[in-house]
Amino acid sequence: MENTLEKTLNFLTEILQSLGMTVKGRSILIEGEDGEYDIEVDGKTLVLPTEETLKLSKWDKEIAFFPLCESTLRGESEVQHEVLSMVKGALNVRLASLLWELFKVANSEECKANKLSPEQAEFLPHIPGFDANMVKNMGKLVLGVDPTEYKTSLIHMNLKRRTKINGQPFDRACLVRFPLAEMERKEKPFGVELRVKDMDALLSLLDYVLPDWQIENSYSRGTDSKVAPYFVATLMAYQNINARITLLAKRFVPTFPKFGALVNEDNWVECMDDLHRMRDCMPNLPGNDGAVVRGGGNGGDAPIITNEPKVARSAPMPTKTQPNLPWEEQSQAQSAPAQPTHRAPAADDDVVEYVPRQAVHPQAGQIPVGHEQTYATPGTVPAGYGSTNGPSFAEIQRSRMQGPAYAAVNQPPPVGGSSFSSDYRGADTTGNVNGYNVGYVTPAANQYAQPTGRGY
Amino acid sequence: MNKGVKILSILLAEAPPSPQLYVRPWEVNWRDGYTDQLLEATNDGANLSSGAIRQVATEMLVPAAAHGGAVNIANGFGFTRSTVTLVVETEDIGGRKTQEIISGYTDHMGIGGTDTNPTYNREMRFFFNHMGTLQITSGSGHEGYGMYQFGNATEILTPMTGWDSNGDIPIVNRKATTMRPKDVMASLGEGAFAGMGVHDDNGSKLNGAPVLGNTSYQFGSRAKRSSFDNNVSSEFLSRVFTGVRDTMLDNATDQRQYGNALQKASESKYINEPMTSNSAMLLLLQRRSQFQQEWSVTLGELLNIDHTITSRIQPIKMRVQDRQTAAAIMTNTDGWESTSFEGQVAQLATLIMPNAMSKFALGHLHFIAHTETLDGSVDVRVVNMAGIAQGIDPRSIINMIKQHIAFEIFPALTMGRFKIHIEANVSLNRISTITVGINGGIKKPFPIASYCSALYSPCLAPNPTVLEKVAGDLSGVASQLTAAAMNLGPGLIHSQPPAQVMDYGSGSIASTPLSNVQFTNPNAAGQMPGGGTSRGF
Repeated sequence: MENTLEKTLNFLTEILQSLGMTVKGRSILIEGEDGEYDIEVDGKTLVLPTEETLKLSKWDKEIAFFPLCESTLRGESEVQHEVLSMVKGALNVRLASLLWELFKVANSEECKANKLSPEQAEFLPHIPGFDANMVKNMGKLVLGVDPTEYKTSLIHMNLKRRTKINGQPFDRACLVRFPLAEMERKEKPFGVELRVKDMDALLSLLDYVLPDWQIENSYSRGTDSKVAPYFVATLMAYQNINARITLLAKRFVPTFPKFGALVNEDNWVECMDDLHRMRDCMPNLPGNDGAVVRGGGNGGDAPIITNEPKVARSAPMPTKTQPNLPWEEQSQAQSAPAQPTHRAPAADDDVVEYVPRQAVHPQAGQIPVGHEQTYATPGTVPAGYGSTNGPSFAEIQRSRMQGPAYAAVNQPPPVGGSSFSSDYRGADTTGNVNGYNVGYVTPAANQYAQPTGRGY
Repeated sequence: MNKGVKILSILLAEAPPSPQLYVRPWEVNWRDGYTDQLLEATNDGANLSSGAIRQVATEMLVPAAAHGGAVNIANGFGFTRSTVTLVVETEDIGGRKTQEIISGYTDHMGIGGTDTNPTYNREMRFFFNHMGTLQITSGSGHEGYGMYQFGNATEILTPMTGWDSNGDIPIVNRKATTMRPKDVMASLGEGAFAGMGVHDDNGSKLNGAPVLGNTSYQFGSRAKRSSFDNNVSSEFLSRVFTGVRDTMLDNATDQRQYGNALQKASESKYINEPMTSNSAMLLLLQRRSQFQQEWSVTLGELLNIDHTITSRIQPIKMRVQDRQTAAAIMTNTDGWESTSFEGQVAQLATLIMPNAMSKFALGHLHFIAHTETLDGSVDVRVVNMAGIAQGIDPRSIINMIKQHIAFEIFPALTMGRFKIHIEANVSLNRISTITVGINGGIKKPFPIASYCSALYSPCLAPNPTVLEKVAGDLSGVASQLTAAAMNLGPGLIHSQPPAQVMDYGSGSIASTPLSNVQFTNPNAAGQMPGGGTSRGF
């Protein structure tokens, strides 16, 4: 039992660190403008459930981070709310940073001197009509990203119980939406005035960074896990996007060390096989076991959303480039390319909006401080690549959503090899393949796939 | 109808300080698969007795590991007080005598004077914690000896969290709610179970939906009684499930007179608790003292009712060495505040034991049980025990008690998950000590003041959310069991309710043979249940 306890604490620590938190002893800290701060959940301090925490049991002042004990009968717990807002924060800031850094790379001396490796240069065709002003404009846009509001998020996530993703039913799902995809052409994204070519470049680059992002639910993830299903769904959705950002960022690290801050390894994924044992190694802890769900614990009658493949807008169509990720190859191998159609504005009535309570901490800081690689010094404006007067990278880290830089190497799990346990398994609509593509469903893939082997 | 109420004796025993205690209400520890297990164990909802569901129940309903706040007691736990046991004799108009045994504690020790000539402080305040009735059949038993039966054992729940000595008023948690099976039913009376009415303790009927939000499980000005059975998870769940099933069945099978069905539901006998007004003594206190407002009485108020009782007070002061032992116990503890599996097991023991002890009319039981044997079987050793009242000698039923520990108490304490070593030294109205070791780990001692168990009852929720969580968690499985049972048809359902606290002495007691134990006078030669003798023991 002792070993499991240790393993569980390591697992929780790794997740927190991946989400940009610092763990010191039993404290969970967040980098702020002038130092590190405790995280508050429900008016209590978030702490790691170490032996000391359990011994002290100051449950009127502290709340332990143990989302694994979430009851399958209940709704989202307070801690789960916090996890979701951490994930949203981390992904929004990382994606915004990545986009802006790519624009800066396009404007860099190295790029102009044709010194980028072929792998690095791969994104250049995805910025049509690039000019130096774009970097500045994108900087403004990135500064406008605020994950606490739906309209100002690059990535929005909310959790749902008993729902369908592309026709496949799940006990719990983390629905990922991209507000930009639902935006009207004439709207100012995040309140920033952009030129038409800026917008085209942005959307096109997003197509490169997150292929199929405009197709509804292409990044949503569902699960039938019997252990902490909301938590698992959130982690699956997080890991999927984070892995992609990490993969792209790593290509640039040798030439542009700044990208190091966007590299976040997901070593904790292998522990997902052992969720049962980790959950059972300590009792249920307050604030983690979930909120009361009225009208029946076994699921309730959550409205089921239907997701026919739709596309957001008449803006540049996603142009598929060479498949460069295992999961892309996989989905293509099994299905015809997705055929996006026009999508109506999202019907809000069938999606329970999640309103983050603490998504931005007042004391939250600006600069991501890596564990091994320091990307920028807190409080200073890092030098950009090329000539740009846009906001600094530091400035866009307006909330706590910063990513520590890991020096470890990202290895996407091998295709076909399962890195998830059966109870963690998600949308396995592609039949027998249960590898990195777990939970990733393209609408077209779903069209042909037999819904076999759902996790239980 | 009571002809008379007479206080036979008041036992006042000095109680040493106790460690700080914490609230740990029931919590559902849900794992997927329980629904299927329960459907199988209950034969698709047909047999919802506590025995049938015990295995799942012990895993499923546990006292919360993380405490829900500190318990407050008058003057604090670090204070020497007395425990009090009132033995009251009531006589109905038919001449049948019943003894009520009401136990609790005082706000301070209140015993002065010398051993030979003790004096008592009139301002000493009595708080009542638990009670039960001792039925007497004088002279009509086997071979002319009287027989005894202890029943209706309940805790007395109040929203009181302490006593303000300055203002001389109770400190009250206005959010406190009771969380007995009937309260869970009341909370369930929304949604799937709309229309299921429940009685409140006043006897008024709360028909129709939504029941949630009504006052049936909130404290009014009343103290409420909660059966000791409710402190055992299998009994608790059995009552909830049976109550839900039979209420819904009553509704479904009596379509002609819907109103009638509602009334039946509201009178659901499966979930009833004894009321305070069922107790002659509490009724007397309600009428002749400030008990209704203060949930306690002073010695002075008791003297106003009966000025002769001073002569019937039996004071017991601790010896010096006992005080030292008590002080050692106080310091030798892992602390109730910590969140651990050991604490959870110890808490469970403090809940289960009084129930079992009341069934055997025991006031004290000290045993050691573990599975660290060659063949892994349960080893039970009873170290010591004593009857709940003078004149009750449990020695003749020691094998039954051992059996009960091995097959009922011990499996429940393992919560279906742990290998435990437990030493329980429990007195209903003293400081008890539970020592628990889990999976071969260090044995941790947990001393606990059993005399104030109602303050930390698992059926007392510090706020309604706790009740709503339990009710919400149970609603799904309760409705599935009910639906399965309805498919069977009413004819196939075992209509026998689980152990009834209300009906001790009547026919329904047959469903729990152990509560049928009848005790003999010490001078009677081991009168056994069913009128047999102690040959086999």
